[in-house]
Amino acid sequence: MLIRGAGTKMDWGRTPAAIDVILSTRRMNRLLAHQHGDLTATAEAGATLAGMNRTLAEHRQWLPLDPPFADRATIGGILATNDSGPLRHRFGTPRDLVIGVELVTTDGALAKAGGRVVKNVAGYDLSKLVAGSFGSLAAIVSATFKLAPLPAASKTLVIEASDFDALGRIVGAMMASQLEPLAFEIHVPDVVGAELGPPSRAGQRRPLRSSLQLRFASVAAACDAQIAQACALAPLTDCATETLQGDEEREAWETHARRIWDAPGALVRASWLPATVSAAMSELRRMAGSACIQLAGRAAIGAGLIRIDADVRAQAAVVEQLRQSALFGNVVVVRGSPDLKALVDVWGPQGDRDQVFASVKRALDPDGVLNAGRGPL
Amino acid sequence: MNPVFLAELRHVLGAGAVLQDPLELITYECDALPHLRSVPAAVVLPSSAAEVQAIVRLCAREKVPFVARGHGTGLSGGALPVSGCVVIALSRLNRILSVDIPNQRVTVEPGVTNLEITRQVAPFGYYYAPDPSSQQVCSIGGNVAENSGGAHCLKYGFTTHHVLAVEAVLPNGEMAHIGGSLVDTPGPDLVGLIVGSEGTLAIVTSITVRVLRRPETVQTLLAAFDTIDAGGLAVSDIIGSGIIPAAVEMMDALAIQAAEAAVHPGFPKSDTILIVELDGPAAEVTALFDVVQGICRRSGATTIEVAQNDEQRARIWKGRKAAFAAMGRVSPNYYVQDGVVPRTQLPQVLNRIRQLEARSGLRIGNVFHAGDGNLHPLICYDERVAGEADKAVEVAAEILSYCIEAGGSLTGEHGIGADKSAYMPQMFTPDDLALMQRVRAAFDPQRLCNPGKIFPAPRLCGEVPGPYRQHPVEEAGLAERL
Amino acid sequence: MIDEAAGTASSPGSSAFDGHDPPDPALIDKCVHCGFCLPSCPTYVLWGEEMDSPRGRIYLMKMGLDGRTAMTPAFVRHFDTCLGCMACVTACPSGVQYSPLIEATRGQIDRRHPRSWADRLFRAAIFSIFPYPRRLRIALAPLALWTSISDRWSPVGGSSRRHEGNEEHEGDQKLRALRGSSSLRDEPLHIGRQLTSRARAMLALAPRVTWKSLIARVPARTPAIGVRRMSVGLLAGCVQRLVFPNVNAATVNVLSAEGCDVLAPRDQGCCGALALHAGRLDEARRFARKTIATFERAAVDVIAVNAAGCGSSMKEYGHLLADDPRWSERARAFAARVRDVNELVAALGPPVAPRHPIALRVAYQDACHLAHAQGVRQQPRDLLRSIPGLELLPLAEAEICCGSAGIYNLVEPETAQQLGDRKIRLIDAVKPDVIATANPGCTLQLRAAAARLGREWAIRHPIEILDDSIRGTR
Repeated sequence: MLIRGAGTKMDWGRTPAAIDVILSTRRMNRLLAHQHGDLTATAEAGATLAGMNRTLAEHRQWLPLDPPFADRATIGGILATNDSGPLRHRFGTPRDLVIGVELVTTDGALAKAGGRVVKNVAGYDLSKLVAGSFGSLAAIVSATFKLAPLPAASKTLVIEASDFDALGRIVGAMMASQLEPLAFEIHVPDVVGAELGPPSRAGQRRPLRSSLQLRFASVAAACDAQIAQACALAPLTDCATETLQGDEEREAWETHARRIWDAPGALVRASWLPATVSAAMSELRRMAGSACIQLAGRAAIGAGLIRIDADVRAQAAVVEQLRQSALFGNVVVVRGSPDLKALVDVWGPQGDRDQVFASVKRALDPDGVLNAGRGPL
Repeated sequence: MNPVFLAELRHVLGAGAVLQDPLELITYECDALPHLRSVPAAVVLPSSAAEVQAIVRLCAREKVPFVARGHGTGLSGGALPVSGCVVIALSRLNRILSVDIPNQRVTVEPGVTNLEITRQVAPFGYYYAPDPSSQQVCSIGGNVAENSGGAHCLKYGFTTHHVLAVEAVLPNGEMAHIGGSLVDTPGPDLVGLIVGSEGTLAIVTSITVRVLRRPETVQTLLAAFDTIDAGGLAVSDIIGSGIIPAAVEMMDALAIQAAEAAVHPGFPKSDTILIVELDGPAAEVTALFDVVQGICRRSGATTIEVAQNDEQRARIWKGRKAAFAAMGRVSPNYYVQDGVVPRTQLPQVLNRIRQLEARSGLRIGNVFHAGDGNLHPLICYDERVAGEADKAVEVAAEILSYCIEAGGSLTGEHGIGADKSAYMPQMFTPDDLALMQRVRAAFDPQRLCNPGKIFPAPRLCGEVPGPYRQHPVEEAGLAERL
Repeated sequence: MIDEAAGTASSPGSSAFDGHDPPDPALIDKCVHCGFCLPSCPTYVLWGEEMDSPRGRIYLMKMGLDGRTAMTPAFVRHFDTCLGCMACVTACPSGVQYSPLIEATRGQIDRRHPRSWADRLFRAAIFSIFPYPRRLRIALAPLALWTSISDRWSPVGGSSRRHEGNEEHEGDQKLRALRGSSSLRDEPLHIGRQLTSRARAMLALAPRVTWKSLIARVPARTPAIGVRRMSVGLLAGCVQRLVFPNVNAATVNVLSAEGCDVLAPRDQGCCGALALHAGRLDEARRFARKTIATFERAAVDVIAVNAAGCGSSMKEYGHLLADDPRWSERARAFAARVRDVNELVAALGPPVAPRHPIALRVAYQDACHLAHAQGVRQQPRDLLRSIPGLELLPLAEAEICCGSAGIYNLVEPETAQQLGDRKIRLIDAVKPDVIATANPGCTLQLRAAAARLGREWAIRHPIEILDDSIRGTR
């Protein structure tokens, strides 16, 4: 059985085994409660994040998540994949915001864990267990989240980094500073192009500079003050910067969310230690060969998506090199052709967690009914 | 206890790390909830993860239950021994394994105290955010077990939001590395499951946490109110105006009196005090602090005192954090409870508690994390007065039922432990509990790892004390022994 | 859940204590078992064992009173390991008064627990020599002889001797201490080992004594320089006057420079601190009465003490003699006039005597009987900071005892040595020029530990450094 919300992630995970039933959550799409005084809300699995946030905005609140396809993706799918976007920098992933779940297990029991209060340690936090399970353990019926107030004002600083060293220095300086951005993104449009240097003659490949995007959201004065403070940091003084607000700002973030998904090639998720970003990007450049490699991710968290545009063998080679690299970890193929998925394992080695995954799967889905072998367990 | 088993323990750990003298064992019969007591059969004091693993392997082989213990500061009897068990005291696993400032990560052994992590990174301008009131003594391993919070978790979250990885010894004696310094380990969030599992799923032997940069500015105020309702109104209005303070704490008159007697923080003599702390970028804090002060005044604050420097701020927090233990100054015995209500239900529930206080004749102090609705009623009693101890337990139970009725929880940060397992059916259905038990059985089919905690006693969910018997879940083929 | 029958360490009904001065149950009940004291306790820091923590020890007292245990050797052991540093009192939010509890327990142990002949002899020797300056002078004479010989023959003074016997591997030390900490050992073997380790400890701790120091005397009366602010009686101390006469001299200099008449009654004896902290209460009361009488005759405004252990016991006289109708009032009045010298200098107000600059990096180590027992933490630091050019260095684990703890480093040398080494490593980390501490026992302990690690810092009383500054020397 496969559980499907909006279908935005149907091609994620391993190639599925035979599927007898698809369980759609589309009709379970209600926002069950919005306790605005308590900053919590409960939604059914099939409710879309975007729809939910439209309602929450009536009380100037939101569920601060911005995963890919945020306009269509459902709460159930976002939680099951624990997917997130730039807002992760401040608010974390769905597992950090979920405070209760209602689940149906394969024996037909309807059970809940957690609750509707933000602070609660009664019983096991099974909402964490389903986060990232890809629907392999139980079906999510509904989930309760803690919310955040909508920020009063927002401004974004875009910084262009001349090379990976500059990129690393900027990330290091930002992390060591007391600035508190809402989001802190890194974008490397082309790991080779980013290091080309200025074009010396007409007709040569144009350098594609890496960029950093910092969004500050607070009272207006604090946004301005923080952008001024950021621009005064030493590694930024000789960088090109641009401050965006209003529609321009919104467009910049929409473009950022889309651009890696809109371009062709395989997409893999990977993590690195944030302070090693310069070395990690250089290593990625060495791996590139003839492939075009793009990266977009959370600068201070060290997680993002890598797009590998090349033939399947070259894609597989990059995935394997990423897995062998000491600088990268948790390399998972998110979008890839069936051919790529045949060449490399989507999930990669699980280490000694394997034993726990296996026994948890046996305990909750002893007959292996759920998710048709796509998931991590 | 089997002498061969004990000899094996001594062989693995050395004689100095295996306690058997009945007198010494008595000192391990309770944690910081001393009205629940049970003397363990032995106490072992491992000095390395490998020793922990060896102990658990032996226990698994001999089917001897084991209970992990940090510094014994838990308030729910989470480290309460069970009959015939081995207590694995992790106090000697207290090394700092790595401090990585550029990546804002610290790896420590479980016996390291919460505050020690902050001490390690403070010179670089960093701190570890979860700050339970017992942070100077509570172990990070215990924090992981209980998913400890603290005054500042309103803004910064609980232990679960700050732990990146644990190395854990599973109840069958196998080692598992869960999570990692690199984020996004694929698969279900096992770190999130283990944090808060009260030592029933594994024993963690190292923990990697994220540390945070100190905020640019901190502002703290102390507002006094004539009624708890007025204080509660101020809290609602602050949150309602879109401000998430770093902390919002309330104390009532009895708690103020106790704290004053213990550490002399100079709190105003009033019915209720509210501590509000904002932190973050200077421009933001300055703007919002004015809003907060305005709200307090409009809500009827009789005095508002703003901490002018770190020393004054520390004094306010010292008074707040000492409040529990300071109840010893105003009452021979006390019982701390820990319940949660939706923040908007606070005034209503507090009024019910006041009525209960009048009806029961026991004084009830209230210290609570008002920002997230986490109540800590402190029920005063005198165990030398016949029946008072039992009455205190009854009063606590009634308060918890108010919390559940208001849509809240049995515990916000102290854990269910042995103390509140009997109340679990008030909050969870048999199906809810059965699902949790299935998860537990996946880790610990023999039910040796901290038994008697979280889940209600036998008849309610099929758990049977004494030697291992097949669990209904196993009978049904839903789980199996590893 | 209550499973007490299984946990009774002796036949039910028997108690560890008899009716003569048992620990007060009302004080024990103040303990709410929160554990806040644990990280402040030196033995818990070393071993991580509940029964060697303040909370565990109080629990054992309670078990003793409740008849759940008799005075077994294990019971005694966990009180012997207590340093009595009172750091737990500082840490306790419930206000448990550990000091009278441990003194009462020790008193009962001292009266009723049969110790080995060697142990008895050793303890008897301590209590019949240290509190008597004349006897102590004789006992120290061979050391003075040794100093004069070694100074003549060895170019580095007598210090090489202190490096001996300390090459033991750290891990071995830990294991040894772990064994020593709780479980009981094979008796004859144990006595032998105990004797050798104690003898070794005494040698390592032995002060550098000279003929001059042994005959040094504090002038009976030193007039105030300039306008007289008050008259001060000085307790000369037992070890202090023979081993550290320069501390007394510095105290006199500073106080007189700051406008105090300083009187040091010739007929003063021991204040009784050693006896009091070991639970020898009747002995302590004798010393207390004599000390009170001596200083009453001197008719001074306050009594200044420059040894933390002495000061803390003198401040306790009121409590010690509370049940003695003829003395209780006098004892209370006397105790109210006792001041540590750091405290006194701070209380005198703005300095009269100018301070000359001293460029010095100073690590100040709190004496437990000053910081925890008397609550005097800020004053010595302020005193040192008042010296221009002096840099006061922050120390990690400042609240943890150095291992001296009265006679602790003589009767529990292994534990004391571990604590001393731990302390010295932390001090070493801040790279000081000088260590300052305000108690002679701590000075000897730190000196021995520093020598083991090959460090040769001067270890001085803050008042000595202040004296240098006022006199413009160094």
